[in-house]
Amino acid sequence: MDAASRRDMPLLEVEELSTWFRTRSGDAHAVDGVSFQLRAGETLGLVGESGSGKSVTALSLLGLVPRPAGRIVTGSSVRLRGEELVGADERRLRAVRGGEIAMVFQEPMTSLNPVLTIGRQVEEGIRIHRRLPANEARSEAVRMLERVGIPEPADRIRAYPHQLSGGMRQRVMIAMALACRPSILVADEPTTALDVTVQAQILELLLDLQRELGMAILLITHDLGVVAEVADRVAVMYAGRIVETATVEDLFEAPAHPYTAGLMAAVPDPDRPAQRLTAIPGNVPEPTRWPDGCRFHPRCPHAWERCRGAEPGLLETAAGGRSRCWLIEEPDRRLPTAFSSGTGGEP
Amino acid sequence: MRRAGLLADVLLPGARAALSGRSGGVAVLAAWAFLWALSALRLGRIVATLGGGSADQWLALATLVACLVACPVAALGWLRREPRKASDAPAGPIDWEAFARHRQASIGLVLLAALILVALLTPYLAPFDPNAQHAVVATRFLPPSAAHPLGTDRFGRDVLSRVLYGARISLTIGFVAVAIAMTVGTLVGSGAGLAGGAVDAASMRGVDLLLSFPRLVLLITLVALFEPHLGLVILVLGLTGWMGTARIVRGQVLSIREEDYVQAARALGLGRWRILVRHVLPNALTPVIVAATLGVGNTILAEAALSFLGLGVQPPTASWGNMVASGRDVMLNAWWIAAFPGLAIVLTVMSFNLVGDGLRDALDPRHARGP
Repeated sequence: MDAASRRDMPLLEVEELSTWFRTRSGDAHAVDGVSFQLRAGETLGLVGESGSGKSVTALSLLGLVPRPAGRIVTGSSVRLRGEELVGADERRLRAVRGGEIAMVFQEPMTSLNPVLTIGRQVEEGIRIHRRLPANEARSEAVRMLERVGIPEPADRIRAYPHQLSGGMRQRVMIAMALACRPSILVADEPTTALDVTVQAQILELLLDLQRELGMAILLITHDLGVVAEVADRVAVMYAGRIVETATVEDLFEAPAHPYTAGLMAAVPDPDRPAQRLTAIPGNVPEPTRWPDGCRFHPRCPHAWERCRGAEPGLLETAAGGRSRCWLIEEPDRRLPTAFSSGTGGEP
Repeated sequence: MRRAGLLADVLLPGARAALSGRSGGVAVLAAWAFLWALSALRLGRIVATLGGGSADQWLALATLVACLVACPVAALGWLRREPRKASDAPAGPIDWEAFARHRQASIGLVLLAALILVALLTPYLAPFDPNAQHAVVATRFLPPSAAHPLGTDRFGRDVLSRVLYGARISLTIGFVAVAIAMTVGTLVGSGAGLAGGAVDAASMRGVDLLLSFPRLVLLITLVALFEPHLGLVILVLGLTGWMGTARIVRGQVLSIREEDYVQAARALGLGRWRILVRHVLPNALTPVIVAATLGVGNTILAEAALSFLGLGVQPPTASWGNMVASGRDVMLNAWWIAAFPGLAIVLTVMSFNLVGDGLRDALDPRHARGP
């Protein structure tokens, strides 16, 4: 394999990933046939409302679906550099977790163990994956904490999590995740719990580290502003499925799927503060009973009979992205006024 | 000036801190005076130990020397540091300053420390051999006096010496039995909590079953089946006391394994065992420590009850329980035989309970801790 084709080969290929949970009212299809690819060094934003299956997708990549209720359905495939991870043995998965795919969680306040010093927590992964002796692991931890912008890291390694602010803790989480030089970082709402000013700093830090370490980032968020700032490509999830993929520019220029358009309309517009906030009518349906046909049709302003009868595939849009919407085949049916009050909207 | 201060801390440790109004200084100074007085008064026994003594006496000597070294060290280190302000964050997961602000808990801790010290130093402290029967007829039932500060019992044995030796028995039973109970309880509880499902349900129903027996009845049955001796009493007390701990640990493990930091540890590629030992158990331990402290008091009471019924520590070995038992029928004529061991039980159990309460507050992150 020559260098060029290795660069083109996706680092991570997810195909038909389905993760179901057994519940009292039947199987909940939290993730239902999700496919995407992640190339080395790129940032893919995975966007959607709460309950759309973003976080379960992330956990499924690492084989961390809570058992016994949850399971990855046969036929799902997650390949890291061509190596199948679904059904891989626990030993191999443990080496992948933290070593090749690392994760940063949403809540910096609760994602650190309160009874261990931050130094010990950063060291732990280094010692397991890189098998360094204790003193080298310690100096590596100090270096890593310095790199993520913790002041006086040599002293701070003895601090306990409750002695740090939320932003500092998220930096520690990032140091933990990146200490073993993973090739993929899964960031699950990494800035949601932080102040807006701290959010910007953390995103900036992630991008810096990405340039330095050359890792790919899967950024999970419900915040379109964050996606616009840092992502290269975006995948929009709704009801356990990806409904639209596009480059960031195309997506914000012309969202092809009505759900994406609805999300954008729901972002408050500072230029028109007097306006009522626009919301997508209704809620995400129950994952035990997704609607027949297009899963968005009960909430979609454009929906017609075809949407109720059959679910579209991921159809290619004019701009080169993909959208799971019949409007791609029948653009005349698009109503001009739907979600018109927000940004983006109609071409 | 600095050198004078240093000298003062070595010669009279705690004195400067006591003068500036710190109660810790008073405690250190008192301990220092007590230790030197003891060394002077019992010089003969100390010299005898050096010429060849029993294990008990060597332990007492080691304790004496260690404490004599510890006092100046405490004065130079701990007492010199400024007390931390209430608003600062504590340096570790246990908020010792919150504990120190808890007045009753501090008193309990000092009492407890004194008690343990006394138990270790007993071979030097006790005026007589606890089992020595002096002139049986002439010295029996003597009321408290200068020669026998707490009087003598029906065999003419010195009650003070027996109470002091009884402290060793009671504390040993309390600590060892609780250690057994905590170990078994933690193993069963974390096993049940981690396994979940049928294993969890079965073991917790087993715990319910055991808890539904009154403990004393269980103890009496078990002890009655065998020849009672110290080891058996400890074992039986330990094996009847773990169920509460198992429940606490199981509940903690069930909730902690859903915590974000456990999820984060999994995502870092840590193994199950490592996650249990490094991340789950240390966080589950807080209520276990509190339960253990309170458990020591309860166990001492249970041992006293067993000994009172004649099923615990067997005479002539002195335990507080069997001393109270032996004094009960002469209570009106010789109250001191039962009263002083009874008082010792009350003080010991009380100090353990006070420390337990204080620890509960110090370990509770919602208490006295800034955001």
